[in-house]
Amino acid sequence: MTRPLKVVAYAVNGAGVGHLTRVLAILRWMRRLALCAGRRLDVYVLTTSEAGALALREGVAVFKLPSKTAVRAAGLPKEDYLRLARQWVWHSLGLLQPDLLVVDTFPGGTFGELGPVLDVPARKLFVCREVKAGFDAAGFAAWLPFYDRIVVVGEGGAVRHSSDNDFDFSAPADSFADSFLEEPLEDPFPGVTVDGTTDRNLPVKGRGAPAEGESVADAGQGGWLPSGPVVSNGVVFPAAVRSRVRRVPPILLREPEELHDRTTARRRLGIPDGALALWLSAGGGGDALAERTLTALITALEPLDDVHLVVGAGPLFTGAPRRGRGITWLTEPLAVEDFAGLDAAISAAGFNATHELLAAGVPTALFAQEKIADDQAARVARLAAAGAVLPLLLDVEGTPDAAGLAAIIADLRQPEVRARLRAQARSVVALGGARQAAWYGLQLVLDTGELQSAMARATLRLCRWLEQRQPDTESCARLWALTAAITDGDELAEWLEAIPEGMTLDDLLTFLRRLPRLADAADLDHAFGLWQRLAEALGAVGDERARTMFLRQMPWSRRAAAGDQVRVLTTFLAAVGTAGESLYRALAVLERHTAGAESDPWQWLSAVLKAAEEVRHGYSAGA
Amino acid sequence: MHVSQFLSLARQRRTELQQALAALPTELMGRHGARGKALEQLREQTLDALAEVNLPTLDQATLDAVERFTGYGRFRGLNLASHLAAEQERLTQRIAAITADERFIRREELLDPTAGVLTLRAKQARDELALIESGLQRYEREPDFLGLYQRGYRTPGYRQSVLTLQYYRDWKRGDEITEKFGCKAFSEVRSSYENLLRGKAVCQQTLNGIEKDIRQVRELITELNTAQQRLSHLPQAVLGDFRRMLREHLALADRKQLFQWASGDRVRESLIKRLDGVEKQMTYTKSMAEHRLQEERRYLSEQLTRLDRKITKYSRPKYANAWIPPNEAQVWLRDPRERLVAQRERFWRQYDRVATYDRYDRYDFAADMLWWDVMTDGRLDGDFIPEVYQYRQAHPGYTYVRPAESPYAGSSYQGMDVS
Repeated sequence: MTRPLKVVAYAVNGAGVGHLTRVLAILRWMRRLALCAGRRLDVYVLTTSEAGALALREGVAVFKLPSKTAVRAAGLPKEDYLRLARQWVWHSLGLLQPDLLVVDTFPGGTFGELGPVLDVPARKLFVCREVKAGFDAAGFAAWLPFYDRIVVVGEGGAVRHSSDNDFDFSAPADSFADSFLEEPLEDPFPGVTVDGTTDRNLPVKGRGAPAEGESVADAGQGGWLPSGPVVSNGVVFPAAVRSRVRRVPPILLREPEELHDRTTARRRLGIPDGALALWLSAGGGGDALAERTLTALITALEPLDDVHLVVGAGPLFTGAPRRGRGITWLTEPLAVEDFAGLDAAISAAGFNATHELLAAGVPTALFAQEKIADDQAARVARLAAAGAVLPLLLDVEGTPDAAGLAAIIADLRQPEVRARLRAQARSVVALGGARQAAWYGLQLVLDTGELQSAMARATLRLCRWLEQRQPDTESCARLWALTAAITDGDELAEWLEAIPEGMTLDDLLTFLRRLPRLADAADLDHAFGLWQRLAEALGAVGDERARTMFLRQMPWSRRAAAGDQVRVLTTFLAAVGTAGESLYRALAVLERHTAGAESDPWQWLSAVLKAAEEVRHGYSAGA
Repeated sequence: MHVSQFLSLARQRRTELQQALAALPTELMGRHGARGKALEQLREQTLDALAEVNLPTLDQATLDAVERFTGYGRFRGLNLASHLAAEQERLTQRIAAITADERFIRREELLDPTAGVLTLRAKQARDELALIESGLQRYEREPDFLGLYQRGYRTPGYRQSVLTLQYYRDWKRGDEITEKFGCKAFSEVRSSYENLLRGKAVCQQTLNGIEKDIRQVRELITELNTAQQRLSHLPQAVLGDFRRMLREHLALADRKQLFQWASGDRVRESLIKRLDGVEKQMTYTKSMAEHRLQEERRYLSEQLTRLDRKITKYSRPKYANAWIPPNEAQVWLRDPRERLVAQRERFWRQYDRVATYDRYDRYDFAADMLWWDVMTDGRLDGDFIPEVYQYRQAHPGYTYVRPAESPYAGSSYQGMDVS
């Protein structure tokens, strides 16, 4: 068995949920891809987020340090906390010795503590999110050369950036599928020669020049390279690291296909039939004005009889809950799974909140909160300009403007407005960001060939099956080896879903190993068909232990056709079931009859039928 | 030491080592085989005892209890009286059918060793067959005949090119054989041969048919005897059948599950522990012997290779008059088997410790334990045994803790008396 890989994600910042959500989304896909490659991945998260329940729901082990918010609330000295936090990060990384370190947003660490330990992990991935212009840009740039790969998270509604892999956010996520099979370009600007020392302006073939004052980042289909380092997402990328930069769509913890259907979601949320389900959210709940904003919204909207409020207070919300006849109050994580049940939303314009709503196609009105690094106002403006959201203004106390709110409600009540917003919302958010980021990360630690095969297999349907059945990595590795001829995950999932209850993946593998090599899809189809017949016959007799033992020790002839053997074995098992015989004795009888007959197919098949006769008549065959 | 003397001794040593290497399997596996047989016998006895404990007598209550203690549900709902009655009826009818069968009635007439109809027919068929075969041999013993026949000489299927020597050889031999057999053409020889072949096939078929008839009559007789014997001791026979069926189930049933089914019955539990323990002893001793064999084989092969290299080196002409220092010669000529003797003694002690272990009561199915550690008191490394290795890999925190002495120690089931 190959050595398991260890991945540690660093999401140490304030109290927020955004960083933790992002790294969990990436780790989730890393585990899926690793499992589809037959490799075990041990993942850990270092975080200060107070939303630990989210990580628990995702099955990720978390090492948690108190957040700055918690420290402040506890009245602990800041210097002590900083010293403790640095030491804690250093020691944690030193003990864990990860094969891959994933760092979100702060390449040098929130406390500047990552510098001394960036040589500990074998490989490092930096997840770069858009930050406010001028926010510690120089500090960012200084740490970037330490990273083997930098993944830039795109923003919904942003224009096309001329970057290395040039993702078009208006296109469906599967545009990535066209590119992942080829080796990503090391030169991010094809057709262009870059002078690494002077970064002179060079014409880019087929692209227009940027307008005055417009950077490459703001250009449409292309642009001149600026005279300084390339800027993207407000971050400066020096020439030395450009070849390591990859751009991905917004990273979401759940893709739209993973959400509950509308009927199920509305039932889970307790939304009455015919009501307009309106989502209210102030982000993760940790914002200082969150309670005030939510209270104001609820007060204004609760009297509306036709509206049912679904309040996503967030896992960090500490204020007083508001419950009532027309209100569903939620603080648990992963409320996004029920977004298909919503008709509209009024939400803070945090990165995750915004993109989760838009990706789910929920007609949304956004309001901006004031954050240190996140320019929510710019996000609202950009998306409103793209027609994807309705903007809502708040005053300095976090209270929405009454007239503005009324206008928004009037708009959201109109089905045609909602339909337009829904369509636009989906068009501005490309999907698959988490999967792509995971790909780029795993590229650093896995063989390209096995990763490409894993990527082809890792369809949502197969991943869902793997997460439900939770087979171990070794069994998965054996399964992929046996079914190497099939690359499509959905096809594999279709077969795997047909494994009857009470039978395991190991049982299937035990059977498949007896068959000749499965060369193509037709062979696999045939093999699975045989398995299903045998499994159904076996499922009707004995308990799980006996069945596993039977499959493992069942006599099998290499000369007789597999189909014929399964046919006679199902006859045998039917006799076992009818006679109420134990599978253990049945195996003994089968072994006795088939001993010495392996080389003659006809004799073999006859022997199995004779064994069936003995089992059927049992004790009366004693004479 | 002069090189010639050294080479003489070295070659002698090499021969001894080669013989030792060849004898290794017999020495090691032979002794293991004997012990393995004893363990196999013990296993069979334990299975018999376990079947008997669960089915001491043939009565309805005992049958009804079998499933509860063994998980064997074949007797569920079986009405013993009806079953015995049905079996009696079946046997009676079968006996009647056999005695009414004409073949049985005429059995003496058919099978008499001297004058039986079938006996004589079989003899006749055999004689005919022998005659045909002797005829066939006349052809087949003729050098090159079979080759010519198989290559299809003088038939449209003959593919030998005229440009080959074989063609002309065939031609020559074909003519010679044709003349020898008094025929005009090789095709006549072929024809005669094929006639004999066909005749042989027909004769063989006839003989097979007659022998089948003879067998069937004998089977009828045997079946009648068996049925009569069974009928006269029907309850014992049925009890034997049921025990055999139960035994087959017990032979393969999961041991931990069996122990759970035993529901605290001390006799059953003791037998199940013994059964599991003996099976593990069989596995372990086999692995130990095979591992030891591999180790010794590897060691002796290495020594042999080393010695061979010295022999090859000093056999070269340039060393023809060399003198080898006595201490060096002594080292090279050292008998590696001396070291093996001590190792092997130690090995057999460890082996016997496992092979003769009989404190099966120490094992606890409820506690996660390795039989290996129980038998060796945790003192021997057993990672060369797959089950031991896999167990330790799956339980990285596992350490062996010697089980406390059971209050029932020494009172485990020993014999067949379960009263």
